[in-house]
Order: sequence, then structure tokens, then C-alpha cells
Amino acid sequence: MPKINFENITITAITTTVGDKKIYLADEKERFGFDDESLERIQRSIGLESRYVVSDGVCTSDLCLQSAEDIFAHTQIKKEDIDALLFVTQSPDYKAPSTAIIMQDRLGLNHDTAAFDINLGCSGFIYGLFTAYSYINTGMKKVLLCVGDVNSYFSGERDKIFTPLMGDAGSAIIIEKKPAPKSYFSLYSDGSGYKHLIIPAGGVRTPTTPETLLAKMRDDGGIRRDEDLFMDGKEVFNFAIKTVPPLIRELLESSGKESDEIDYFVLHQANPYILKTIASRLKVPKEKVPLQTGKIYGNQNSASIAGTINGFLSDAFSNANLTIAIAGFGIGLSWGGAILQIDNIYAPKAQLYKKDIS
Amino acid sequence: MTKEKFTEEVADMLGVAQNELKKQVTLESFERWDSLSMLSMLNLYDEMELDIEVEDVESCKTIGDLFSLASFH
Repeated sequence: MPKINFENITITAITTTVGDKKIYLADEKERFGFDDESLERIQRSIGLESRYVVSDGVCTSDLCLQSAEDIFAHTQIKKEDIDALLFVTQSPDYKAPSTAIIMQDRLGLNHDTAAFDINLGCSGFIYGLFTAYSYINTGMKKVLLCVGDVNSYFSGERDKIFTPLMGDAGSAIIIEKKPAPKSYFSLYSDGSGYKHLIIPAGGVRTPTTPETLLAKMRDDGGIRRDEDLFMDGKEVFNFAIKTVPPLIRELLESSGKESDEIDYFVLHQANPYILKTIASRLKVPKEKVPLQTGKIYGNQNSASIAGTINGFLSDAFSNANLTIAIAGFGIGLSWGGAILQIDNIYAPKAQLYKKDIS
Repeated sequence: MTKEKFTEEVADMLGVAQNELKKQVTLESFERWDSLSMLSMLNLYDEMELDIEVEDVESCKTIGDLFSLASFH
């Protein structure tokens, strides 16, 4: 694919809503069967501490709706100016129809709004953003991009491999036409690795049966159902550290920028350990690579880049003109990145889900 | 990084005393030698600015192999 760039299109608002229950890993020792030593190892080497998850029955769309309503309530952006609503998720409200269409009605957007879902995980923020930029490029005024997942829905109840990493979050992002320097995108796919991150059953290939709903002890020591997400941690780690540094270097090259011109490298927050390794391979100052999201909030899938901005960089994004490099990588396998300029946008601190809204 | 410091890090990672790190001892004999400790090794090599990949660490069979990757003999 040719390297794509856009001009005079930018992000003007980013908000994130996270699950309202904060769970500390130390309180889940029994659930996952950790002894004190293995708990300490995981906390120390992977850098896990807590995660925010929703209460039963709360959907990703509920989190995204709260994020979107916050933007309409606190900025000059009007609902009638939204020409498209894109919803990137792996935890839709229903198998069909697309949740984005239901969200059009719940938000009270015009009928002449294009709305559809995009099924992607950790690379989803980049793909959603690219699609939004493309739509603005064709003449749309404003696009509302919603991203996120209720990961707790497909995380095995007692899966010590995957579940301790994951949090729930839904973000809303506004993309619009506005004078702005060029932005640069690169997108990649490698389906040969689809088995490394997968919910094996529940689709047409392997339909749901009583058997697929049984939680079983697996070879990796995790207890999960075939309807839960399986992750081959070592393969995913290897994939991430091999693809992300070259992707960032490629983006720097196509944008003609030096790495010291980048204010922040906001990367998908798989877990602090992966981020630390990527940061050291990129040879950029540590303070430019935020990595705390996985430690405090958990891995938020497609919401993790927005979640990091709202979670830890709210002041910087609200009060400065920043050049940022972003990258997402994961399930698919799918990865992509962008270099963008973001100028004093609406980026409040991440908020907890409030049950009374929606 | 000195060989002494490296030895200390490896012992800490495997949760054993430094005098248990004999060259010919197989990694399999350590309860803690798992994917997490392999990643910790990779990070240690990264800190030393060595060009080591996950596969290189995986192919190590003995304590001596871990030291050889860091050119300690």
C-alpha cells in the first residue's frame, strides 16, 4: 500500500470512559490461583497493579456514549454536524445489526449520518482514525469515531494468562476539517498469525455448542472457554517488538521528521513490559513513551491510545500544540501507525462510567 | 554491565543463589525458567544494548548459554 498522508484534517476532541469497578491484582490471587511469589513476579516484571472493568450488563456502546455526550456537552461541536459515526469494537451490543447504527439513534444524530462497525482490536484506533480522515477527505464535515471494548466479557473468569491484563474502556474522538499540517499513516495485516489472538468459537466456523461454553484448564495453565479470548503471550510479544520499532522508523522517514521532533509516542498499551521493551529499542527518552495505562487501567484494546491521552496526558493535549507518533498492534495480526499534529484539543481526564447516563 | 552484576541479575530472575549458577546446569532444571523469565532475560540483554531476539533466548539450554549470549565466558 502506498504511504498515505492527509492535509488540513485533525482531531479536535478525545474523551474516554472506563469501567466503574477498580480491581487490584493483589485481591485476585485466589481467583487466578497465584501464590505470593508468582503474584510478586507478575507485578514486578510485567508491571501490573489494577484494572477498571464494568459491572455485568454494561456494553462498550454505553461507555462510548458517555464519552461522546461529554464532548457535545463541553465543546462547540454540534450533533447535527456529524456526518459519520464509526464504531471500532470486538464487543458489539448484538451480532447484528452494527452497534453504530443504534448509537446514531441513542445520540440523536441526524438520519443522514453514515454509521457502521469496524471489527478490530488493538490496532483499531489507527484504522478507525484512518477511515475517519479518509471520509473527511471526501468532503464530510465531522466524523465521530468511537473505539473500545468490554474486554471482561470475553476474558476467561479464571484465565490467569489473559484476564489480569485487561480493562474495559470506550472512547469518543472527533475528526474534522481544519487548517493542520500533514499527517502520515501506515497500515499492515498478517493473517497468518490469526491463531495467536483469537476467540475460537461462537462464529460460523465453530458455532456455539454446550462444549464451547465449558471452562477448561488449557496447556498454558489458563482456565477458559472456547468463547473466551486466547492469547499466545510469547508470540504476541515477539510480534510487537519486531513490528512496532520498524513501523515508527518508517513513519519518521515518510514524514521527514527526526525522533526528537516527536513530543509523545503514544503506543497501544498492551502491558507496561512490552512498552518498556519497545521504548528501549526505539532509543527515545522514556518520558516520551507513556506506559502506565496497563498498570492502572488494564489493556483497553482499541481505546488504549485515547485512554492513555485522557488517563495521563490530559494537560499536555489540552494546552499545547503537539507532534505525536501513535501505533496500534495486535489481534489479526494487524498493526498500523500515524504521525499527527494535535493543537490544543478537548481532552479531559478519563472518567468513570456513571450508571445513570445512557 | 559487569559479569558480577549479570550473575546477580540471572540469579535474581531464577530465584536461586548465585553459587547455583554453574555453566553446565540446564535451564530446564529451574522451576522459574518460563516465558516470563525468558522475557526478563531479553530485557536484560536489551539494557546491555545487545542485539538479541526472543528466539536466541529460547534456544539457550544451559546457564552457560545465557552467559555466552552476553559474551561472558
